[in-house]
Amino acid sequence: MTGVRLAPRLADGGTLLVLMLLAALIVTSWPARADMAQGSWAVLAPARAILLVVWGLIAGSTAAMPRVADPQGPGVRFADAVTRLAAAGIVTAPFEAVSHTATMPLVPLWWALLAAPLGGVAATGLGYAVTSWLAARKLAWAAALAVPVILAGGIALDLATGIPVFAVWLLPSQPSWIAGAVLSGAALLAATMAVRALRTALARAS
Amino acid sequence: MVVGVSGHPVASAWNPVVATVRDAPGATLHLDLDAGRLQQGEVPIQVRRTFPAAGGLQTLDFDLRLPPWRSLTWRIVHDDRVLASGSYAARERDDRPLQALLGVGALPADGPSHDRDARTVRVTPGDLPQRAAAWDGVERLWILGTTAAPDPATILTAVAAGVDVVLAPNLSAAYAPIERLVQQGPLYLGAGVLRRADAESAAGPRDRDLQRALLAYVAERSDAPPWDHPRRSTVAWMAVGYAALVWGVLMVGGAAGSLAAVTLAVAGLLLAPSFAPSDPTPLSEVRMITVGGADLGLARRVVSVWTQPPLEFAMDGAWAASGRAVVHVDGGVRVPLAAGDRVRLEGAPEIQDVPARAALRSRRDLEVHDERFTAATGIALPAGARLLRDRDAWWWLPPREDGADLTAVAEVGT
Repeated sequence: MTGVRLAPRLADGGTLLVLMLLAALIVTSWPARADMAQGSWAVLAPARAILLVVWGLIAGSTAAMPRVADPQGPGVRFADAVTRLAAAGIVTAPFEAVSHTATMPLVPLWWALLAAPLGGVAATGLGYAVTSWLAARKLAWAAALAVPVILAGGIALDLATGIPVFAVWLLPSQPSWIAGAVLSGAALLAATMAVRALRTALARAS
Repeated sequence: MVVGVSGHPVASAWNPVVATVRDAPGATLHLDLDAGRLQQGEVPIQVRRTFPAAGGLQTLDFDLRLPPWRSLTWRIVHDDRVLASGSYAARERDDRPLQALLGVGALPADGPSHDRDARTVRVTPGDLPQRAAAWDGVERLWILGTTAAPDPATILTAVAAGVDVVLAPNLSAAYAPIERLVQQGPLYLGAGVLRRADAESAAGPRDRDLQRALLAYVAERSDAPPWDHPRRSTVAWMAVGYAALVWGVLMVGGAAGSLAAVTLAVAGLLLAPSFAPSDPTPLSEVRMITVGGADLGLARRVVSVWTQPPLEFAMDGAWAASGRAVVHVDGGVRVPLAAGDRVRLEGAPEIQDVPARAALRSRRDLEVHDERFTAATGIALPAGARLLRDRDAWWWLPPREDGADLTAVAEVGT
């Protein structure tokens, strides 16, 4: 019997990279002079959103890739990815809060804090779902193309409607209930899928 | 209601606006401009001025910088009744400066050649503005001598404001006080010159393009003041320290590590408000450039304003903001600013006392910007001219300077 690891290792390279990039960004864009009035948040918020969403897409897609010698299975790998993204969203929140406080943008702080992590978890689910669907048809190799194409289509739709959901760099600065509902729903779905995958894996293990 | 000198508004210049009502106490002048362009959309500029709450003849007389407009409408309202209204269509917009002829008759044959880029208009002594800013759109004033002599103070104000004032030959005795000033040749005063028709004028600061370039150069040399935030080095230490600490507890792993990371994140969120600036009011910085010499100069102020939160910035005095929606009210302007916005306001030109050129040149603590100006703008200053900086104050000194005892003639306006 193979054991199931419930708690993933959170101190991975992705977390370290995101933390150090955001630390560097907040320092370099700090509003030290009058002409950098919105410097910090205007730079850091899109960067955090892009980092989490891109990481989420890659992590979700990678988790769904078929592997020969992995006893955990794609479901557990997906649950790991969702947990990592959620944890990264939590530990990077202070950077967002500090830059938001320092630059006083019009966007409410709660949106700034939530938008990027929700986007990251939702992107993990999207990457996983697309790659799983392709893998079931022996087309997993096409995921590297399909996921960016779907993202590009979503961005085109965003730009046409003016409501950013996939255009992540606009997400923090343009709060909308539609984007909030879509991202929350997708993130909730991804979290539910992750929990179900873990339960299934536990049941199999026992 | 008269806009511009003698009713000839000049776009991209300060213009006098004179509105008169009779027995309409507390009436309001509404002047609305659209200064937008095709790509920019509408840029509304509103003027709201209230007449004195008194009967009889009441006048509003102020200066307004007219941007190139797409529409300009005005109306005078009293007790919800429109007393008068009018408009200037876009096709009436003209940014060519005026060549004003004071008097009747033809121009002297031996005078300066007519500037093809100028509009020639006839004016009467009553049309001549008293304030320097109102002369901004006038390039040359011909005094032909066929009308009553204007107030010498008005003429000297025009000269100091940068107008090339040319006296026709054979003026009557009423012009003697002004003619005395040019007995020794052209009088360079402030930013302009007073001369006889047959006298040549040296290159001077009257060049409008040069004045605009100087103002832009001075405004660009602003040193953005710092916000009242915690220092960047403090932020650097705290950001790197936080990242390292979070990474460290995540390395521990398990529930304890995760709980510690969440605790650190919550602590970071609670500490965030301490990174706000202690004073969120907008930052502003004033620069002033004074062109001309001989005791008087034409001073132009430029104020740069930066804000973090969105607000409506208000300032006393006559100011203009290019390409921005502005509301001109009694005694000042209001400019709506978005979050993180920056606006540059240009003040109406004023005549000011300036130190003598010799005194300025003898000062060792002044920065000389002649070559730097030419390098930055590609505009060469006339030989012998100087561009000097003393912190926020700048002086553009013309190539030559003639002193004159003006007190015997008139007291120059503002």
